[in-house]
Amino acid sequence: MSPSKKQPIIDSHIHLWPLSDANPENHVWMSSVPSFLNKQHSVSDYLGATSSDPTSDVQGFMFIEVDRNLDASASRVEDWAWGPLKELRFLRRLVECRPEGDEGFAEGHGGLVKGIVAWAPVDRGIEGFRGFLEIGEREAGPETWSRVKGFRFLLQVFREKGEFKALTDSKEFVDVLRDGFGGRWTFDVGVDERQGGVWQMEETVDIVRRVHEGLPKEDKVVFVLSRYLIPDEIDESADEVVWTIFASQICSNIRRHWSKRRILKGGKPRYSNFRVSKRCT
Amino acid sequence: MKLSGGFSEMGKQQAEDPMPVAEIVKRMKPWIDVLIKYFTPQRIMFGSDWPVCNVGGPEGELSWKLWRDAVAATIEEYGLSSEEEDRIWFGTAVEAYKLDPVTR
Repeated sequence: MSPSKKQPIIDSHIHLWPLSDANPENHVWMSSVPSFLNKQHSVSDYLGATSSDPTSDVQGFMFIEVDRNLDASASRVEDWAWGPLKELRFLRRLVECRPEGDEGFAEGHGGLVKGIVAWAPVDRGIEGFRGFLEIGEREAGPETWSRVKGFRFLLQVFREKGEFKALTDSKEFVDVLRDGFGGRWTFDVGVDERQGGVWQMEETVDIVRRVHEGLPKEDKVVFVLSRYLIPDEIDESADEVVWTIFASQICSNIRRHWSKRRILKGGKPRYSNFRVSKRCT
Repeated sequence: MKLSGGFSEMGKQQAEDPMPVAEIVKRMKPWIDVLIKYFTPQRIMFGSDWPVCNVGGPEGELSWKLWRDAVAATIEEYGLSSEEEDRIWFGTAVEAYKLDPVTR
């Protein structure tokens, strides 16, 4: 690429929130992060970070849900999913350019929202999933809802393997992804090898396999894997073998039985044991 | 697969002393080798994880540009065609999320 030509970019993973929600009452994780995150992070701030780069032509971004608070004790969708619904209303104000006070966006900024990966429950069966979508669509309004391309659910919150598998091994969970998502929505998988454990990566392979099993290509959910699928420390190679095999497994959608310890003891990667039959489909 | 969030895994950087791009490339390369080999540029998309990238990266809004430069320098190592590079910068996201095409 010549230096004078700007690289078109779609940033596939950013988060936004208004000042009014920049607190632990809306995002409990904000109680344990550096204080500079606990302020407004909106489109104007994002453009401040990107526009200084003369080599990039950032044409837009994917908004990824920001892990908002829920109220598990409530029964109405509007009550237990109050945080994600509030997030959709913020996005609606952005897309329709109707800020409530200074929310860090202006005319034209809504067009930068190329797509939205919203939160949705994958842990309440297909009725729970569809019930949330119905209310979510109403709150978002038609224009903003049309930008919702998929959903993210942070499976990494289940730190215990038994708890994790109790959900992901269940027929209800697979039904949500197979029938609820159908071929329409993408699923951004949130697992965390570093904090959760390598088993979360193994389980992800299993989830992909079971959700895709027997479905024609057009009905398969597109799984989007993100940053969590990297080893303990990016500059340490102890888990490289495991990660390599994981990457090859997820590409081939083939689950093979292996043990981390056995592979690591072997020293070198033994690709022959984990032949990749085909590239990602 | 999103190529994003690397700064969360590299230790804290200071605004006055950001990690040199060459050092980031060196640290990421073993992992990106695997991504390029198995996922291929057809299945990799650039993402910044902004503003969370500012937590692990240098503070004060330097991180977006640094990550962008680091990813550019890393993928340059593989001698990809401009079409393959475009897959990473926007094409894969457009396909996976069914977005409108970019404009030139």
